Amino acid sequence: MNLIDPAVRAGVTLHLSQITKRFGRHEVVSDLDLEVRKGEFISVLGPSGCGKTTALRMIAGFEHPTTGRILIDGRDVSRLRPDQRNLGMVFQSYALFPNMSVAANVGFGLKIAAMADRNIQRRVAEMLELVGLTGLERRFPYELSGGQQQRVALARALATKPAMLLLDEPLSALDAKIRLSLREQIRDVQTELGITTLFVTHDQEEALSMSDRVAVMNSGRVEQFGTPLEIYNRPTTRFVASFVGTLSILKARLLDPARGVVEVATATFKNLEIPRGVARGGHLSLAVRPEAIRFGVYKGDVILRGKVIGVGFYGSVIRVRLIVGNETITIDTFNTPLSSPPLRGEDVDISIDPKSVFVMRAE
Amino acid sequence: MPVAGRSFFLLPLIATAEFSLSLRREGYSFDAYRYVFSDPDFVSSFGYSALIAACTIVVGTVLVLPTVYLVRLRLPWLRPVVEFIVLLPLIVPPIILVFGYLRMFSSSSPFPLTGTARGSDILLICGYVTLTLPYMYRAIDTGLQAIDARTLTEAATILGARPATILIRVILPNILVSIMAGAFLTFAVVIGEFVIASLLTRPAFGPYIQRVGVAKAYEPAALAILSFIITWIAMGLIQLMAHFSPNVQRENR
Ligand SMILES: Nc1ncnc2c1ncn2[C@@H]1O[C@H](COP(=O)(O)OP(=O)(O)O)[C@@H](O)[C@H]1O
Ligand SMILES: [Mg+2]
Repeated sequence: MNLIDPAVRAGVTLHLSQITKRFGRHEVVSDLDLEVRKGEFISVLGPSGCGKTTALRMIAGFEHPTTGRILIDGRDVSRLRPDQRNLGMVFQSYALFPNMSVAANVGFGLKIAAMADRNIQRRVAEMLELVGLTGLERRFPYELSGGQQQRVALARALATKPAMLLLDEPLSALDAKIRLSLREQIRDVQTELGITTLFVTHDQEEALSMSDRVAVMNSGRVEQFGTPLEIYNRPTTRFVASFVGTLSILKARLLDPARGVVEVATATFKNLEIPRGVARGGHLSLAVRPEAIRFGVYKGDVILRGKVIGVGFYGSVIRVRLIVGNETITIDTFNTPLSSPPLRGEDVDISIDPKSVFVMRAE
Repeated sequence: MPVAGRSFFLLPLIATAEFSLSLRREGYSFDAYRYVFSDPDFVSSFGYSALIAACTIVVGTVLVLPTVYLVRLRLPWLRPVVEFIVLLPLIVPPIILVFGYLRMFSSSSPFPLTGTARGSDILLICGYVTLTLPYMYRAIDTGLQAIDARTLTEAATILGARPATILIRVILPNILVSIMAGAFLTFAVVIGEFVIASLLTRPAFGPYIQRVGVAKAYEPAALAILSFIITWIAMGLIQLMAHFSPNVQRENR
């Protein structure tokens, strides 16, 4: 008899097994399998309405899976109420208790757990120091900025030493600048405590920059689960490729399946990995990241010629759009003191590194 | 048109006020008011009605708050039904309610509540709770919506709190202003109510005003003005509470 789940021995904190959720006939989450290791920071990334919140709410216990099991630290919590699961949660709208001071908010969970007042005080001070809000104990939520409120919410969620931290788009209601700094702060706190964290967001930059691993969701399914680098550089589905990062898609024709020869506009690519089941002469799509294309002619690269239709300046990066044949390509180039970006209407040569191209079935 | 509208509302009021001050032939005086205040029946009936109003507010809150909270969070499909039920007291005249009570709880019934003063008080409170249900419901429902009760509840739940704790420690303190608004409206309604109180033969303020109105000339005018002032104070307090509530301040930022 095996008392310990092998997954727990491998350090798995959260294990979702074949989770499906239907509201009436509408299947919102389908066959969700996910293993989150102890101390990991995992993002669930996907467009609005893809089922991220529903998945998170099932882990928290606010929704019940139609089928499947949820294990936390090897214990099946599927039948437990939310208040029995020992989880911390941060909401998009902060959800601080307006009638309570910062200290009372942070100490709420401890008070419910009947901790002695003096210990509560000590723990609250500790948590406020962790999120950099020492000295604001007596303030009320309405006296705080959005960023401060969300940090109080984070402290409140962590005060009870939960087994896991769940965050549902915690930065979406904040200004761009605060969003960036809070992003780093959340990750720092998470690293310091080593708490297993599930972070839901629709913002790919957030997911890629903060996470150890990212689960990309689409229409209720996880399409890819991997490190940010894997997700960005080796997307396994068309959806992941197009949802994460910017992608230019070029129409292509397969000339030689065996040697991976593909024709695009006036050029040919060789040694590409071709999806199975496409016949010679069949249609394909080539996808290229904006940073995988360079201006000028480089040896070993595939050369195309196009006309510049737009130049956008983003500080350290300049984003150029150009027309090649009938298609629009986006190129990112670093803004260096020596470079001079192309002008609108100019005809330019571009070089594409064949190794950075993904081949997909044509739509 | 606005002038006409205002006169339509103000002229009778001014006329009543003027009349209430004209008890002495030689000029204006507050004598009518002095007689009213010195009438022991005034004090006792007003006190009685105020007490009944307080009970109505407490019972109404205890009844409405958990119901609305439950419907909002767990049984949203029940909402249309509840909204309809809650409107019934505005559609069905109170006299129907009180005749129902008199039949159901008469001294020959299994629950002879009308037989004793205490029993009749209970019936009166029940009647007033029903009568003021629309106001209490609307006030509390608006309050719950304004504080996003669902998310607050979830936040408290995940921290380990159970529903009763959440209702008392998180929800109630944050909708106190809304409850107060409902309470003042309830107070204003109960203080002036006549039909139910007189049919249950309770020593309430409404029947007292009516009795004075039949017997005297100037005092009823003074009472009418006093009722107006009480109502206005109640309304003013609602405004004041809303103005100083923390939630409002947060929204204004
Ligand atoms: N309680 C519910 N009843 C019915 N449908 C729901 C409910 N909650 C969510 N949905 C539906 O499930 C889908 C996914 O919602 P959600 O999980 O909130 O997506 P996301 O958080 O990714 O934006 C949406 O189409 C939404 O309308
Ligand atoms: Mg969501």
